Amino acid sequence: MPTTDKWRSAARSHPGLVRSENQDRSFIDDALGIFLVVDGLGGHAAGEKAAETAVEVIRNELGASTGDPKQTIPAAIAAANNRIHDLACENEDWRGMACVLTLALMQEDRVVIGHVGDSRLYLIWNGAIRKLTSDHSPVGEREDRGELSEAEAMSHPRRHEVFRDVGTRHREPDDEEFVEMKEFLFKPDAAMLLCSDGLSDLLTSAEINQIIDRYDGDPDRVARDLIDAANRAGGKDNITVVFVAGPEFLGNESPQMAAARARHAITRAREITAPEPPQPPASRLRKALTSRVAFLIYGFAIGVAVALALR
Amino acid sequence: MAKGKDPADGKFNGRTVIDQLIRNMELGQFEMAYSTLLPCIFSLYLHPEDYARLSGVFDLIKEDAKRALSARLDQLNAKPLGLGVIRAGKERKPYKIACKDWAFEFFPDSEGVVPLGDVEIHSELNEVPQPGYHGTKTTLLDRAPAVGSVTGTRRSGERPLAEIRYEDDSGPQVFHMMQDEISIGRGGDDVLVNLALYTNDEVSREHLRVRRDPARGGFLIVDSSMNGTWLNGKRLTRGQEEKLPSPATIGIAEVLTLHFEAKP
Repeated sequence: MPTTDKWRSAARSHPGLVRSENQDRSFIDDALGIFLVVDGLGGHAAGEKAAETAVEVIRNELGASTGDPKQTIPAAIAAANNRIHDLACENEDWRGMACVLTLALMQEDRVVIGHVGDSRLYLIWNGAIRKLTSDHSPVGEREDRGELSEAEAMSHPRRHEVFRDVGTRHREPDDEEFVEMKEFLFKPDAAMLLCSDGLSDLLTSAEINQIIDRYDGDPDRVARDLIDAANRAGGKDNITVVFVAGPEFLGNESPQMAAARARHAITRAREITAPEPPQPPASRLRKALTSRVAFLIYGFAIGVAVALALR
Repeated sequence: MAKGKDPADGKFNGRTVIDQLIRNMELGQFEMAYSTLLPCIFSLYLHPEDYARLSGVFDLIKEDAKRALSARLDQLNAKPLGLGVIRAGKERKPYKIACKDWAFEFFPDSEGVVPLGDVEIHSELNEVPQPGYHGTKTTLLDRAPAVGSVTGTRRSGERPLAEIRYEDDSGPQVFHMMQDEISIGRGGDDVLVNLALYTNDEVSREHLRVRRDPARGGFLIVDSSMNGTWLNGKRLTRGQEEKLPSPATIGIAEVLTLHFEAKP
């Protein structure tokens, strides 16, 4: 399980129950603090190829550069975009392929997010969950404006249309309406979740929060539980999650928290300050006769007696 | 057991209390991945007679207890001597407390379960004690799970009554007020807030409330915080409800600002 002293992370991906192929990809680099979820768009192998290309390019770009994430992230996403676009132009099978993605880069105690499309990043702290990314989709925009409820947005027929993608046309890093950049403080007792829409289309943020609330120090279990829950809810799409927990993050409903609550700590003085019953004199004498010092004296006495006898 | 005949009763004094606090702190430790939390909030229940007898020296006991617990914490964190060599390579988890300082509160036992000469201590890992919170015995048991989700309370078909824009440590945010009354604050284990701010503990768990007056259609605001709420630059009196104009800026403990706007 990939782990550093600043966070614990895990990634899981599942094709879901309806689709045969998995066009989602994820990537974690704990050494560099890179977390990425990619959801491929396009028929047959094309979506998969787009998602794979995005992971490969972003990983190489971010691995090679050490500059300000506010520049390196859009540059890496634009490079992935242009590579996908070039491949799609070269090969008939890959025509029109693209992807959406959410990328988080840990920079000391801050996280910089680069985001395109309708995958999501949630921040979980103090029992509350917050969606930090906007959905670049007609339905998502209306939800973010408060015109649609979360449930209405989840069941909306146009839920899967996106305004922005990575790959359908040539892009520059600073293009308007391309990479959405955000930044937030990653507190040691916070956690974040990156996911594809296969999760957030089937589970409300409150349901996601309930599962994360059971976090017991094992991020992989949370990732697995989220995917299982999305599959139980229908598994209509590929499901991918990347879960990252700060070192002091612990779910309210975790077994440790329950155990700590149970023993937490109601104490009484009487339990330990009650004096030992006074010992009767006879037992004190017996104790003295059987102590280590007593046996030393017996040994010495026997030795002296034997020495005297042999003389 | 008659008082004076039992040696335990005779020994009961401030020292017993402090020894018990240290024991409780150690029992209540909570191990996490990279550190171990110790409880820092203690409620002490005494027999009413002991409570009356010792009430004059509670402040002195508290002062002594702070020093004793801090010393014990330092001791726990001290590098082990000699034997440390054997365990070299194994990273030690530091012990720490989640609060800024230790907090102690004495209560007379009103349920008749603490005998003379005894002290019952309930401790908590964090959470700033709030007025009215400790009236009865509280423990970390049986707490309702926290649900602070903004969107979770949203029902279909409704339109926002108001919009609140703000920027906390998670960046710029927009909150849609969907019900007639909302609470705003840092939230926490047992405090449900509708608008959960991602910020530091200068902000109270529940800092303020905003409600719509259905009769007149306007909005009202009331401060419930330790560090204060400012409405358009003027500090609100805690607990006193005031009219909330639209638009308005609401200052929170000089930490962040909410921009409130009613929706037609």
